[in-house]
Amino acid sequence: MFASANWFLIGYNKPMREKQRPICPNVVDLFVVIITCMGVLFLAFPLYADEQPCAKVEVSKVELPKAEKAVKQLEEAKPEKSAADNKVSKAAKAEDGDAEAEAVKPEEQITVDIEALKTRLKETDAIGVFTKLAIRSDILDLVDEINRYRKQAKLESKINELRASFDGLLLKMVALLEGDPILSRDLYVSRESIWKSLLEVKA
Amino acid sequence: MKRVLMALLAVMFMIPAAHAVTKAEDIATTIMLRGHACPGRTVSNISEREDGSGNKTIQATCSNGVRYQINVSANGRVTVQRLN
Repeated sequence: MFASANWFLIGYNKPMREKQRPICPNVVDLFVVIITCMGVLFLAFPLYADEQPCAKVEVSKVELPKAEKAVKQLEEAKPEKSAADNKVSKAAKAEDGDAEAEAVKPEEQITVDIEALKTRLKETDAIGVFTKLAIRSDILDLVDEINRYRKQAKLESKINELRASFDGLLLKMVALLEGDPILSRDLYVSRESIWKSLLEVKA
Repeated sequence: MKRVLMALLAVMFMIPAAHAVTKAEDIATTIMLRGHACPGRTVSNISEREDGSGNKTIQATCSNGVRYQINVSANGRVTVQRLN
């Protein structure tokens, strides 16, 4: 008897009709949750995207005096400047009045300031604490290896091997920083400066 | 009312997920950085302990059932060893 009963054939009173609606309420709830999640993602993405250029502008404002000092030191130390250094110094000198020039040549400025990169790596949320410690250990191991070869006077012969290790480590970092693409790009752009600074570290 | 609460709960869970890396992801990434396989890039059954000299030991299980121990020394050096 009950097996053959259909909801649309039975004359329910109003409270029972409310209960026996054809659409399952759980499906509606699920639909509301999915729509809300999509709405949050849709609304949050422009905020996240807007945040990136703002942070970049702030960082570049902080870095510029340091960049200018570093460029001046380089100019004093080396009278023969490379073409890239010329671009950097020109961009740094134009900092006072011309904001557009900064936007055109951001990569050359970033290559100078290693300390700011270190700070940004320490403060980024794109990787966790243990990952940062693991990367730090790898860098310290590489520096130890460089110093060991330097003491044994084998640095020149092993330089390609060490550079390959450094490139691998840098690529790992760039891949891990997918949540902070600007820092990832800045690290990659500054790889030559980072490599030089690692070679300069003494035991 | 029930639907509003569910929507609020969804928002509460979605916003943090969009930003920070979880501890499980962090530990899994550390394990992978040391050359071990940890499929799914997440771990479970995390246990932590710290000794008096500042050395930290973390144990966690990857989704393939392999348990790893991560040792973080007081000076920040990280090593990973497989337990099973």
